[in-house]
Amino acid sequence: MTKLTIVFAPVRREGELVLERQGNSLIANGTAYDLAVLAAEESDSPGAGWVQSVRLTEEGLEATVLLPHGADAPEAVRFPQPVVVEVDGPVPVPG
Amino acid sequence: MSDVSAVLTLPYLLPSQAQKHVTHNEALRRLDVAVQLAVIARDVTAPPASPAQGDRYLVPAGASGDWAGHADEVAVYDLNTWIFQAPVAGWVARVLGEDAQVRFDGTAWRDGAGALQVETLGVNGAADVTNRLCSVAPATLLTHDGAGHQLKVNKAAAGDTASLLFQTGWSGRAEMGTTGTDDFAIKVSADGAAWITALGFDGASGTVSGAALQDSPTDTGAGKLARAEYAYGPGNLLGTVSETGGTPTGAVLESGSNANGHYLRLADGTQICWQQMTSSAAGQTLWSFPAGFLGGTVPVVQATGQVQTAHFASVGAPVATGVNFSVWGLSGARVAYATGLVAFGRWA
Repeated sequence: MTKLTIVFAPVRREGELVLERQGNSLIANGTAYDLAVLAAEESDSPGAGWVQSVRLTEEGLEATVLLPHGADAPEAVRFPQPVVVEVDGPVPVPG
Repeated sequence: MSDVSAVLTLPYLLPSQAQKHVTHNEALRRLDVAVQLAVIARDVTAPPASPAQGDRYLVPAGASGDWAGHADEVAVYDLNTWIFQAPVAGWVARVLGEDAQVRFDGTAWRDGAGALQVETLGVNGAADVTNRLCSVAPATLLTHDGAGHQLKVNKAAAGDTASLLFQTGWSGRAEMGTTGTDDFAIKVSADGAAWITALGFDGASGTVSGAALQDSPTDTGAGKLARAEYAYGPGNLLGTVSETGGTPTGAVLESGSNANGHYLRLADGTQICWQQMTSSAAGQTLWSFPAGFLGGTVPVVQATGQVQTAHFASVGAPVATGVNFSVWGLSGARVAYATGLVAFGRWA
């Protein structure tokens, strides 16, 4: 299975992120994003959904996913570490 | 049987006594002093040079001349000589020179009437069965006796009233006290009929309510006192901003930072984000905003390469959550430069 690196983009906004990988799809809060399609897209603007951008790297795929947090979120959420996902199923989200 | 009476020591006539008039007149002279006792003064130490018949004085301590040794006695000038009458405890005298009352307590003459209990007392006016103490005067003084002074207004039960009532022409205009409850209130009236509780103090918590107080977060009525939970101050100016229908329901300013930069949210719905990050020479660079803008709106974004070298920076069409940017050299190729990014927009 393609190595997928998820870079979290912390953002002060209401809501919560529930993330799951299914093959080449990322399901964020119930919406499926086809990573192959997004990686091939050459757009002037970032994606307006939870997945902002996907790009191909030497190691595989890298997806930037919004990570919503509140006004008093802890350091680990406001400055999150990327996670590498190589299996299907729920993806652990910081916080 | 004694020769004199028990109280005023009036001499009695004896059976078959000769010179009865002498004894009788002696008794009358004593009565003349004691009945309706009024003296000219109580602070004259030397006997007056030319007194009139019947002049009476209270002899003070340290008196001289004919009065020496007669302190506290009543001196009467009668038949061209001073005669002295020792007072008995309970005597009351009027000091004419001072228009004051004094009393003899068995030891010395004291000011005033001593303990006094009356049904009503009117000072320069008539008291009645409701207003049993009445003072008609420009001012009424209540002062200390060495330290502090408390004016006590006591009531029987919580449902009764203990208050101070201020009237204009006998019509109430203001009242302060525990009126009909144990909570303290300050009430006012324009006409004496309709009353407004301007300020009420909860007897248990001490907190305040009333017409003088802001009654809702958006109440900015003239002359009203601000409530701590509605007004902004050091305790709630900064925090989490929020709003309902355009009305702030949280703090005025909210600021924070995360891996995507810094943000400032204002209570009116405006939001500013800023960040410094390096552009990529390989392609456009994504700046995810550190705080989301309102869905469906896009912020105004400014990008500037932070170098002196000739270049220009460009941004793509922003969305509510981010923007792509690039920095270009004059050759037309992307370059990697430290870039300053600012986005203005609305969070609400």
